[in-house]
Amino acid sequence: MKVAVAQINTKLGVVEANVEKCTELSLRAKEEGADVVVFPELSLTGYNLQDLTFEVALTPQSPELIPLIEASREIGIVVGLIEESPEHIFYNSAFYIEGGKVKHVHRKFYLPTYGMFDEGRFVGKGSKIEAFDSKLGKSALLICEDLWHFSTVYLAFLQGTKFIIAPSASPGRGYKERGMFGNAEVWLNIGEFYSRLTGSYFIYSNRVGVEDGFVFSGSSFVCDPYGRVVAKASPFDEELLIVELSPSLIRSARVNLPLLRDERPLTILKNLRRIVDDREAE
Amino acid sequence: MIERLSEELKIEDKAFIEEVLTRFLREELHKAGFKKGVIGLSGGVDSSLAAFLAVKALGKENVIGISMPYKSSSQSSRDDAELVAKTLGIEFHEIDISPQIDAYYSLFPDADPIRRGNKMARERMSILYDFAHANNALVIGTSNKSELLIGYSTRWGDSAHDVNPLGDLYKTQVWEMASFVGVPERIVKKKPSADLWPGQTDEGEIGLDYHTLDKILVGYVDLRLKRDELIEAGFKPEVVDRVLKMVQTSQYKRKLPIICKIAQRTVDKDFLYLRDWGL
Repeated sequence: MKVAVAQINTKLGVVEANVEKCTELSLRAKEEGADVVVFPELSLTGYNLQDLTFEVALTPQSPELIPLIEASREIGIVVGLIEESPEHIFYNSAFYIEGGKVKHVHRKFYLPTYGMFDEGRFVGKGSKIEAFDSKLGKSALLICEDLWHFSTVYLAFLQGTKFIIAPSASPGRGYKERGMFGNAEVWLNIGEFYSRLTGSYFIYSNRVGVEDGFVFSGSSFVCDPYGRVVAKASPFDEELLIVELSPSLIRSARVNLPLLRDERPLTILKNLRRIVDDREAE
Repeated sequence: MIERLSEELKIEDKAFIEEVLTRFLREELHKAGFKKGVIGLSGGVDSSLAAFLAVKALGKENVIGISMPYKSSSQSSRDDAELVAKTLGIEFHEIDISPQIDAYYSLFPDADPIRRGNKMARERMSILYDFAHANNALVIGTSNKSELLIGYSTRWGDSAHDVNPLGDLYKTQVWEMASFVGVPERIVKKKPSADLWPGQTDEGEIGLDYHTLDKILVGYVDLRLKRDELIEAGFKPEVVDRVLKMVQTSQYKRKLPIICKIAQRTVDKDFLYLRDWGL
C-alpha cells in the first residue's frame, strides 16, 4: 500500500489552475502506484486569501471539482479548499474524494488568529473530528493548526484512526535550525511524537512557494507508527513523495505499546465535565 | 537575559537563510512577470548584501546596480559601490545627482542638511524607478529591520521599493549574512553611514551602537518583552525609552497613507487582498 504526498506551490485565488495541477499530480501518483494522494491545506485556492475567501469558495457539488472527481475513480485524493455551507458560512476544509464523489469533509477545527494568522476573521470553525475509511484504512484529516492542539489527535485516536493525514500551509519562520525553518522542525517533532504515541502513520503534506513574502516551509514527511521519519521532502521544491505503508507495523507498534487499549474515555469525559463546570462557575 | 537576546539574533544556518531570501526574490519577481532587478548601490553593507542576493536569485545579467553620489559623497563610498558591481559582474551606472539637487536648492540656499538629505534620497528613488521602467525591472529595496523599526530612513526615498530581501534582518544580522555571502570585507567592516554629509555615521546620529539597539529591538519586537523587563535585563532606562519612542513615532513611515472611512468597504481597511492576488 502506498501514499503520495504532493508538496506543491499554488496560484493565489486561481482555482482552475490549482485544480488542473492537483488533477495532473493525482494521475501521476496513481501511475506510481499510490492508493491515496495528499495535497496541502487550501491547495485549490492558496493560503492567504483574506477577502478572496468569499470569491473562491466551493461546495462538494461545484463543477470546478469535476476533474478531481473524475481522477478520484483511480485514486483517493485529499485536497484543501474553502467550502461554503448552504447557510453561507465559509470553512477552511479538506475533502477526501474517492470513487467519483466527496466521501468525507473535515472543516478546520482550530483557526489560528494571532500574529501573522487571521483565519478566524474570514472562516468559521469546524465542530467535528471524525475518523473515516480511506483507501488506506481508518483515517482522520486534521488541518495544520488542528494538530497543534492535542485534543484533536486524542479524538481521532479514540475512533480507531491508523492514518493521521495532515494537510498544512505553514509559513516559514525561525532561523535557529539547520536546513529548515524553525516551524518545520516543530512539525517533525509533532509527527514523530504523535505517530509513536498513537501507533499510527502520520502523513504531513505542506506547501512550498511564496505569498507576499511568506515563504512556506515545505519539508513534508511521513512518520511510521514507531515515530520514524520514513520519507521527507525538501524545504523549497515541489515534490511528489511516494511512500510505502505497512499495516503490519501498525499492529506491531500497538502490541508493543498498547496505549489505545488502556485509554479511559469515559473517565476522561467525567473529568472534562468537572473541569469545564468548575471553569464556568468561576 | 542580555545573552539570551544576543543568542536570539544569531542565524544558525546562514546558507539556508540565503537560500530563503534568494528564493523569495526569484519567485516574487518571476511570478509578477519580471526578470530584472534594479538596486541602488551606496557602497554600504545593506545594498551590497541585497545585490549579492539578487545576483544569486536572478543571475548577474538581470541585475542593474546604480551608484548615485552627490558631490559631497565620499570617494570611498563611490569606490565601494563600484567594487560590488565589479565583483558581481553586473551592469553598473554611476549617476552624479549634484546638478539636479543643486539646481533645486539654488532656490533655497538656506536649506538644512536633513532637508537636503531627504531630497537626495527621493531623487535616488526617482532614478531607480526610471531605470526600472526602462528595463522592465522591479526596484529591490535595501532597508534592514533595525532602520525600518526606528524609522531611520527617508519616507518615499530609500524606504520606497518593490521587494525587500533585508527587511526582516537586523543590522547585526545583515553584517553576519553579508560576510557569509562574500561581500568584500572592507564593506562589512566599515562604520555604517548614510553619507549625506561628511563624517556622518548611523550610530552617531541614532546615538546608540547597533549591537545594543538590535538587542533591545529583538527583545521588544520578537520576544514582546515590556519596557520594565528590558530595563531589568540590564539596559539603561533612558536608552530603552528612546528606542521605544523611535519605534512608536516612526510608525507612520511603515504605513501607506490613511484614508477616511465613509463607505462599507475602504481600500486601506477592509478591502483585503495580498499583492500576489492571482499570482
